[in-house]
Amino acid sequence: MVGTRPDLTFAIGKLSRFFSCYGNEHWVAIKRVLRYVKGSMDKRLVFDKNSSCVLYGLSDADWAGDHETRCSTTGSTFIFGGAAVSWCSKLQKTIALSTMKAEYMALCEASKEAVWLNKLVQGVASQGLRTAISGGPSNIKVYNSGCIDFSKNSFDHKRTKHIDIRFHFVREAITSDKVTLEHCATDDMVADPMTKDLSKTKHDEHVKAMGVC
Amino acid sequence: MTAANGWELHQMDVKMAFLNGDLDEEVYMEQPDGYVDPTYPDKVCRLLQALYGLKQAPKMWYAKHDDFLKSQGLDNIDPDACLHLLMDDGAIIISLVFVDDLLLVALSLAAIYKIKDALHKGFEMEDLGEAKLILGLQIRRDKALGTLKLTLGKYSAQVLERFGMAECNPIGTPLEVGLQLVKAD
Repeated sequence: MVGTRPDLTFAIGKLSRFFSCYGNEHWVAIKRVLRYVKGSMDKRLVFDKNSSCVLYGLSDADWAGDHETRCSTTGSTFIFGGAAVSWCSKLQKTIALSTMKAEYMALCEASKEAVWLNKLVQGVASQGLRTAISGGPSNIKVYNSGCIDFSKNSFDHKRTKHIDIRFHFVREAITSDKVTLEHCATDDMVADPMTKDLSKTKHDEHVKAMGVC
Repeated sequence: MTAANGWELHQMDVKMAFLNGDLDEEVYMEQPDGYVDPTYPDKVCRLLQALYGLKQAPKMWYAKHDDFLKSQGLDNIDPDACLHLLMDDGAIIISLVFVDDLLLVALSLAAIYKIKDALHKGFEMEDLGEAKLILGLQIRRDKALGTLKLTLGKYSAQVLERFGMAECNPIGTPLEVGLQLVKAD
């Protein structure tokens, strides 16, 4: 069902961790998901000709969201033509020692997706397009400014020297002009529902921004 | 992009897709039950074409499909093996394949018919007209408004029905705020 429903991704990901070890509380939670589905059956992923055809992404993380392992959650979404074309909510494999590191790991995932999506869009878009598509790098919006600074700053210091090499993919993507980063206020972080359970107002607002309406 | 540019979006289905594949190696099978040659019951058959259940079949079908589209001038673009496209003086044709389901996108109906004709000649195909339902995904378009809506509504209804939740009380968010779950024993 998640094929057109970015709003369900986090809930399903969170509950799927308990396939082999569920109890009553998990049943209650999954029934709530189904009640939510029932209440939002008429929602559709809406692409609109008046929306911008420039691809951009949003990357977010929830620090230590998993109470048993203290792992953080990666979340990202990519918007094109007014709706989400790709999204992800995933428990990180290693423990992040700070929000900045959790965000940095999330940004690595988002950058990988951004590079591929951008190639795809550029591959299709050239002639015959009414709406101009910029040939530049894809823009990713991030909330954590420490994470943005760290991505652009190419030396390691004491508190960051343990970060695995694979996550420095972000830096390479930036220096090779494949990805640009932009700061975004927490209220505008549309990828928020991918990493945490939000109140109804916030949830609805972000989900609408992902084109689900 | 289809929505933004008001392109045509059509759908086709390949009949018995895997039977189209050509084998590039020797594959033998036992004689099928009930069709054993009484004179040579110990002999095996050599396959000339791909069959369902053969591990080469999906790859061979893809290769055939890929070759065919290339012969029609549609080139595969690097990031996605299932996406072929042709740019011809501003007339764009895109073909997206998922096993045997084909989505065709083009600037004009004429271009859609052109590629459909070619496909009909190449394979045994079923024309499903404008794309409405592909892989359970319902597509609704409003060309006047320029919107394209995707939903899995039918599937959602089936899921609710299957779990006896069709008549449940709706709620606004999928998870309770601050819900902490731990493994049960």
